[in-house]
Order: sequence, then C-alpha cells, then structure tokens
Amino acid sequence: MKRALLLIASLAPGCGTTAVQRYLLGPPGPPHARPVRTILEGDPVPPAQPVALVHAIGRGLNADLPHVIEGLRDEARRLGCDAVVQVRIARGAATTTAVGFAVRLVSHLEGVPGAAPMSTAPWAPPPPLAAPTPAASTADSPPPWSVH
Amino acid sequence: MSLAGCLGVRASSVPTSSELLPYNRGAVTVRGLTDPPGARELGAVEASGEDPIDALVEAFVEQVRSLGGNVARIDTVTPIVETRMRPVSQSVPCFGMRFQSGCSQTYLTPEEVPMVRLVGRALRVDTP
Repeated sequence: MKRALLLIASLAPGCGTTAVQRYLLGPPGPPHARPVRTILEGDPVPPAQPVALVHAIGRGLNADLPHVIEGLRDEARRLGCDAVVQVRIARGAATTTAVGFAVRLVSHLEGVPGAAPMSTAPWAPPPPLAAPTPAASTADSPPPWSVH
Repeated sequence: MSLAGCLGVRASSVPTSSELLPYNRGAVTVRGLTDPPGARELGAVEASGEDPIDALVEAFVEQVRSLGGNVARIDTVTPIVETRMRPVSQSVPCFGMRFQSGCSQTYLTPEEVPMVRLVGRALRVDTP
C-alpha cells in the first residue's frame, strides 16, 4: 500500500516543474494562441525582431525536451512572438534547460505598434550556395567529383 | 581584463580594439541576433551564472559599460546543467547513548544547477 502511494505520488503532475524566465530586449506584443516556431541553434534565422531572451528550466518529470520547448513557446506566445530562434538545450539527470530568443518574424510585423520598419517581402530560405566557377586556366583538370 | 559579479554570477571582458573609452554611465542597449548599423567593436564580453537571467544580463551590461560601450551585443546564449555536491545533514539514531537528540551525520549529495552563459561583444554606436 505504501509503495503504491509512493508510485502515485511520483507520477503526480506536482513532481515536475517548468520554470521560465525572460529578459526583454524590445517591446512585447499582445499575447496570442497561434503556433510558435522553434528554430534550433545553427539553423538559418529568418529576418526577425528580437523581443526577449527566454530561458526554460524543467525539473523532475518535466526535465525533458517537450516540456522546456513548450515552456519557451508559451512565453513567446505571452510576448506576442512568432518564433523562438537560436534555441540551445542542455540536459542533466533531473534537470533540462533551454534558452533562445523570442522574436517577431518580419513577415508578421505589419500593424504591430512599436515594431521596427520592415520589408514587406515574405521570408524565404536562403538560396543554395552557387556552384564554383570553372577555373580560368584550362591546364587544371576537373575534379573527380564534377559532373559534366 | 576585468572580473565582476556577486555570488551567483561571474562576468569578464577584454578589449579587442585599440580604442580605449572611459566607463559609460549612460544608457546601454541590449541586442541579440544583429549588430546595429555603424557599430564599432570595443571588446569581448562573457557572463555566466545561475542567477535569474536579469542578473546575468545586468552583469554582462556592466562589463560593456566598463569598456565604454553603449550596445551590449549577445552573440550566443548557452545553457549548462552543472552538477555540484551539496552537504546534507540528517538526524540518525544515537545507538549506545543515553540522550538521543543531537546525533546527526552529514553527507554529500549531487545537485544539478541550471546555469546560462552569455558571450558577446561591447559595441559603440555614435549618436548624432
């Protein structure tokens, strides 16, 4: 009986917490319930206006990726942001933490008070790298991986 | 190089420019993702600690001020989970003793501490 109570207690929602902190870098917008994109560190960041530095800490049963990412997204929604970019994650045995910048994407900024002037062009992923130009000298043989 | 901070925050900076400016007592803007136009780099700055992120950014800004900067540019933010050993005291039965109050043992238990490290630059933008 005692073991069963301990098991129930360990599975109760109270055994996991997610705390979120933020530091404002710009004026927040009105909260919303739209989906918030998550862009990990190293992935291209679309043109965006940073609103806050956000930090989520999951402990206990919440020490996993879904809880800390959702913590960042919830905070972004509260700040009227569309995405959390440059997200980095660290994981321990009983603690997981994630940080990132909550941003308003430039393509969503129209009509937002306090937003910086912006381009009206929607964001598109960067074009692929251009192929290397052929060498001017004909003496160089083509590399073995080139396709003709 | 300078070091500053309280118990939970450590911060340091080093000038990377020959331009040496006095301590900036004016406003400092904190920026992420992009540099402001016309900014000159004065030095590299880092701050790390377990304090609330506000205190961490304030320590970062203080280092920017010490280099004379008016823009604190955060380049990377890194989360860290550090494991420390924390002493814990526990009451134990005092076998063979007449008075059983006051018997305790202290042992070390691992504790995970979430931390954040900010790395960036001190910039100067001249306002007209």
